[in-house]
Amino acid sequence: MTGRCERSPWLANAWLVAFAAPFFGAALLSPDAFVAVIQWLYLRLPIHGAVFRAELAVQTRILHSLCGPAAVVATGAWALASARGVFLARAVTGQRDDESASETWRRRLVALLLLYSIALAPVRLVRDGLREAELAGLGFAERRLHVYGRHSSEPDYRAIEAFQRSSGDAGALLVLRTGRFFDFADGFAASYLFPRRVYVAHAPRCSAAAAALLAASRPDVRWLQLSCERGAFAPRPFGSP
Amino acid sequence: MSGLLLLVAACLGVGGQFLRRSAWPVPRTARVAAAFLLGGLGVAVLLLAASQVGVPMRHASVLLLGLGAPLGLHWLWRLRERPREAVPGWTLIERIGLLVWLLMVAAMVRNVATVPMASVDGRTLWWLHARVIHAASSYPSPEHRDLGFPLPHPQYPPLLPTLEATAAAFGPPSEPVMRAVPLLFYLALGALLLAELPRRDSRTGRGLALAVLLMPTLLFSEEGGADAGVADTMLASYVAGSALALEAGAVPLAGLLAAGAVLSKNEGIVLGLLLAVSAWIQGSASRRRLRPALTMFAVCAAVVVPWLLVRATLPPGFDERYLTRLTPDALATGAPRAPMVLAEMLRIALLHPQRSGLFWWGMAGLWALRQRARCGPISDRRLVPPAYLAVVFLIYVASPWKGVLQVLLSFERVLIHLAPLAVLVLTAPGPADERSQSV
Repeated sequence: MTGRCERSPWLANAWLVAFAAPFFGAALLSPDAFVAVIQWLYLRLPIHGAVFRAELAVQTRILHSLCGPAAVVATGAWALASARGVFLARAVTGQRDDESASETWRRRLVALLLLYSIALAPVRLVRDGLREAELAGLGFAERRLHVYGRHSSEPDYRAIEAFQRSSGDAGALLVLRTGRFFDFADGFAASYLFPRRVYVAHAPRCSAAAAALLAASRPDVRWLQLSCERGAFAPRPFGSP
Repeated sequence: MSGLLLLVAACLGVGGQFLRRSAWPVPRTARVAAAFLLGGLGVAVLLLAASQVGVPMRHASVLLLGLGAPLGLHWLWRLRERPREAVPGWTLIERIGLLVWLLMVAAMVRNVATVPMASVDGRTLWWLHARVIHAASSYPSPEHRDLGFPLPHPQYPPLLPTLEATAAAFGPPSEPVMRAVPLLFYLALGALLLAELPRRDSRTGRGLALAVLLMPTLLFSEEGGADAGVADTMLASYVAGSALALEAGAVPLAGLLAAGAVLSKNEGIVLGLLLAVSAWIQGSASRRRLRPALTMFAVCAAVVVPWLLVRATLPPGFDERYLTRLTPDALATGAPRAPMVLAEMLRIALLHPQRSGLFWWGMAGLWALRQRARCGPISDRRLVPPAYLAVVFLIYVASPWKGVLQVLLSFERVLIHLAPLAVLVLTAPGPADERSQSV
C-alpha cells in the first residue's frame, strides 16, 4: 500500500526504528544488567518474595534473548518497506487521505497503544511456558505447592500439606493465638485446608490447657495448633477421634 | 464443567428476558454480552433470595439452571433473526490486535484449567467465600457469621462467590470451574466493547476496545489480571454495561447493571452512585433532568438494599471499612502522606511498563486531540473517572495501612475499573459528529 505522502518513506517509517531502539538497547545490556533493570521496575511490592524474584529472573533472561531478534526484525521491516515505497503507518492504521490531521494522530496513538501491548505478549507466553514445564507431570497438590507462596506473609505450605496428608480428612483444627485478631497466616491455612475447618481462638497465654478449654466449645475440633510454637506448623491431636 | 455451561446458558436465558423489550444493545455480540451480565445478576439475586427464605441454594440452582438453560439456548436461537449490523472494516493493526487478544484468552483459559490460582485474594477471599457458600448451600453461610473462622471480609458483596458456587452446583467445588466465572466476565466485557465502540467511533473505537482488553495489568497481573480469579473485571464489565445502557437511554437496565457493579465489589458502591449522578447531567447543563437519575437509583436500590440489610447482620471481621474512615480526623491524620500517595498513584498509572503501560498516556493524548479538534467529549460520564479517583485518593490518605502500601496493592485494579469508562468517554459522539450525522 503506498500513500500520497510527500516525505520520503525512509523518514516516514522511521517510527519503526524508534520502536526497535529500546529492544536494541536491551540487547546491548548483559543478561544480568537487564534482569537488574527489570527487577528495579517490577519489584515494587514488599510482598514479592524470593520465589517470585527467582522466577522473574528466569523469565527475564529468556525475554532478553528475544530482544535482539525483535530489534533486527523491526529494523528489517523498516528497510524493506521503505525500499518498496510503502508508508507503514498508513498501511497499519488504515488512515485515509480525506482525514484531518487530528484524526490521523488519533489513529496513530491508538495504534501505538496496541503495538505496545502486542510487543508485551511474549512476556505472558514465556511465563506460561516456563510454568507449564515446571508443573508437568505433577498432581494438583504438588502444583499448588509450586505456585503458592509468592506473598511474603504466606506460610510454609509444605508443612500444611504434610499435616493434611497425615491427618486424614476428619476433624477441624483450632489455632490458638495470643496476638491480634486476624493473622494472615490463618487465612492462608484456612483456605488451603478447606473443607477442613480452621478456627482461631485467643487467650492471654499460649498453653495447651487454654487451647483445650477453648476447643471444647467446638465439638468438631480434633487438632490443636499453638501459635506460640513459631516456625512449626504441627498440630497435635485433641479429644477422641 | 456441565454446571458452568448450564450457568452460562441460564444467564443468557434470564438476561435475555430483561432485554426482550429493549432496543439496547443493537449488535448481536453486544446483546449476548449484555444478556450475560444481566442474567448473571438475575441468577445470583434469585439464588440469594431463595436462600433468605430457607431454600438450599443447591436445590434452587438445579431448578434455575434446569429451567434457565433451555430458555437461554432458545433466546440465542432467536437472536439469529436479528439483522446483522454493518461494521467498519478492520485495519491491519486491529486484526493483529484481535489475534493477539485471542491468543491471550487461550493462554488464560489454559492457565485457569491447569495451573492453581496464584492470586492471594483469589484464593483466600473470593474462592473461600464461594466454597463456604457452596458447602453450606446458603448465603450467608455459618462461616460468614463465625468470628472464629478466618474468613476475610465477610461483608464483601456476594455476586461472584454466588455464581462460582452455582457453577459448581453439580459437583465438588472445582477450582478451574469456579475460577472460570470471572474470566467469563472479562470475555463479556470484550464482546461488549468490541461490538459497541466501533459504532461510536468508526476510526478508533475498535482499537480502543482492544487497547483496554490488552492492558498489561489484565494480561500479566497474578493479583488483578483477567484470569486471577478476582472480581475486578466483573466490576469493570458492569460499570461499562451500565454506562453504555445509560447513553442508549435504557435507564432501568443501566440501574440493574449498576446494581451488578455494587454487588461485585465495594468500589461498585461509589461507581454505581457516580453513574446515577451522571444520569442527572444529560448532555449539557441546560438539559439537566432528574428523572433518569431517580429511576436508575431506584432500580439499583431495589436490588442492592435487601443485600445491605442482610450485610448489616454480619460481623465485619477483618475489614478495613474504608468508606467509614472518610472522617475529618482520619483525613487530617493521613494528610502528611497525601503527596506520597499522589506520587505513587501517578507512578503506577504512568510509569510502570507492566501495569497500565502506555494506556493512560494514550488516554491523555486522545483527550488533548479531541479538545484541539473542538469536538470535546460531551459524554455524561466524563466526570465519573476523576470523581472516582478523588474518592480513591481520599481513601488511600485515610487508609489504616502504612505509607503507600495500599496504593501499591490496589491502585492498578482501580485503573482496571476505570479503563472501559475512559474509552467510552473518549468515543462519545461529539458536536462535530452530530453535525455530520445530521447533514
